[in-house]
Amino acid sequence: MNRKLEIKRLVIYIFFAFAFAWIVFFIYMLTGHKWDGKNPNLETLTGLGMLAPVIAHVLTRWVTKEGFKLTGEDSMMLGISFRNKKWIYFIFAMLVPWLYFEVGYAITLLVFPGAFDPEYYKTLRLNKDIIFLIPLIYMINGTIISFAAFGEEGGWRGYMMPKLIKLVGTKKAVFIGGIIWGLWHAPLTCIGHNFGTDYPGFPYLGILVMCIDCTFMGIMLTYITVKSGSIWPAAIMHAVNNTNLSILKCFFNVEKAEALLPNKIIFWVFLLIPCILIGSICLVLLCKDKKDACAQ
Amino acid sequence: MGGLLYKDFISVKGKKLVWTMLSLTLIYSGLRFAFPGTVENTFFMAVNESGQMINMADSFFVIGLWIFLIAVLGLMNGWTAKIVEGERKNKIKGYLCSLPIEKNTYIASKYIFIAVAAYLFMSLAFVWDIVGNAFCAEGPFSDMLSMISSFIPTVTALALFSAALELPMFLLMGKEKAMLIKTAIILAIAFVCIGFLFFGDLNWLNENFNPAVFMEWCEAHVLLVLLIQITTPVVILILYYLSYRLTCRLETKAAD
Repeated sequence: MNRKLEIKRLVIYIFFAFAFAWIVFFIYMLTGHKWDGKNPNLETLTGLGMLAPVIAHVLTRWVTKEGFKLTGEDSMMLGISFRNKKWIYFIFAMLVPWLYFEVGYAITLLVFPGAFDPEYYKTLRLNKDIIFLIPLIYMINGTIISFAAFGEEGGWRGYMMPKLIKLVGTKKAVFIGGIIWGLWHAPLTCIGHNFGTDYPGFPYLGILVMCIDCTFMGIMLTYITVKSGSIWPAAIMHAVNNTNLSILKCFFNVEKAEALLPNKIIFWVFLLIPCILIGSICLVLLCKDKKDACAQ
Repeated sequence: MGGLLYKDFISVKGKKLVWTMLSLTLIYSGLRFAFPGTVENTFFMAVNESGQMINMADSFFVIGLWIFLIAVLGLMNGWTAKIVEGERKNKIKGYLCSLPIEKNTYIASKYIFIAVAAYLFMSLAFVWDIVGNAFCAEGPFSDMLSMISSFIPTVTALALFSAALELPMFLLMGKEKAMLIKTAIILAIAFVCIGFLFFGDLNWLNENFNPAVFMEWCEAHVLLVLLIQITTPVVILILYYLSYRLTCRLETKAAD
């Protein structure tokens, strides 16, 4: 491996990924917009910044003449294979986000039982009959409409993580990668994406929580990418994760919860607990596989 | 597999198509940015039947998206013939069969190619819809764009359904016979439509098949619409896979 060349490629990739996305995010910010749900259509448009990492991936390969191998080692990892039980990672990708959101909301409701509201689904304009179908609906929707998540995963898992793993090893790579990914979201966090703007320590605490979230989420995504040899399970998992699917969420009264504890970010910390647990397990498995591979 | 997919990509003049699609997307986005529906423009302002002031610039972008969707459906419909015809024209099917490629892999490559194309077109349609809606004034056109966005997966699934029917015909019977059958089916549908236009109740058509009525129906049947959106792509993907299995089985039988 030519270490210098790999570092150069990685730096070029990170520059492109940040530049393209941040241009979009900053235009949105500097035109006075906030991520407060008042302009949902414009927010969705800004969400197209998610395509920046995959565009950066393609451009970096083009600029550094790395080639556009679709499958195999040093490739864009676009192939799909269900052989050797690899289909399990697709199921993992669809089910795990539901699992950690459901457990996360369960923990939050256990800690703040006052936030439980059996009629809250009406405020969300949801039909009682479909509440229990929500996970399935979002899983299918997330899987089908995964192009935006593919935009991110095609870059972060498809290019940055393999390079980082090669350069610094798995353990360091997942943490460095998580921080880079978290910082990439920083402009959005500064205008209220995910956590709003009214919490103590704004926006630094939000950026920190985002980095932690991205690190553990990134570990899971890296795990399924490495194991399946494809970025598609990661794209599906990311898309399903972004739908924020949970049955318990329909009974979690945000207003009541905010009255109980005005710092909204605390709820995210509780939601993060299962994600951190599953991420840690994935990290152990990733390192174990690496050790096994080295031993062989 | 990669090589087979690349061959199909060349058969449908993929590079030219990619650049055309990207250019069209940039033009659409640029025009949308230049003529936002959220800013009043004296050239485009009009009053609709319910006395509401609307920006007609928005309507152009809704129509643009419709045209894009219809064009994509038409394009994909023609591809099934093209990717099979390409090999016969260039006389490479015999050469391919002499390579260590299984017949099932060859058939799978055709199905995968169409599925990948459908996914890419669906994604692009979403981008058009998002861009169109981002600068659209609140009102009927914005609602229409939202409605289109919720039906994009269903429309794409229908394109896949059409491919699931056509691919076995083209792969097993060859282009000529398959085209005859396809033309016969299209003509039969066209005759039914023309017959309806001559002898049917056009008032009924006008009252029941217009965007406003459809949107009202969607608002009144939210649960049903949701079920259609979710189940159609899943059911059609299963049918698509079954179509692949059937083609493989029939091809093996024919070879025996």
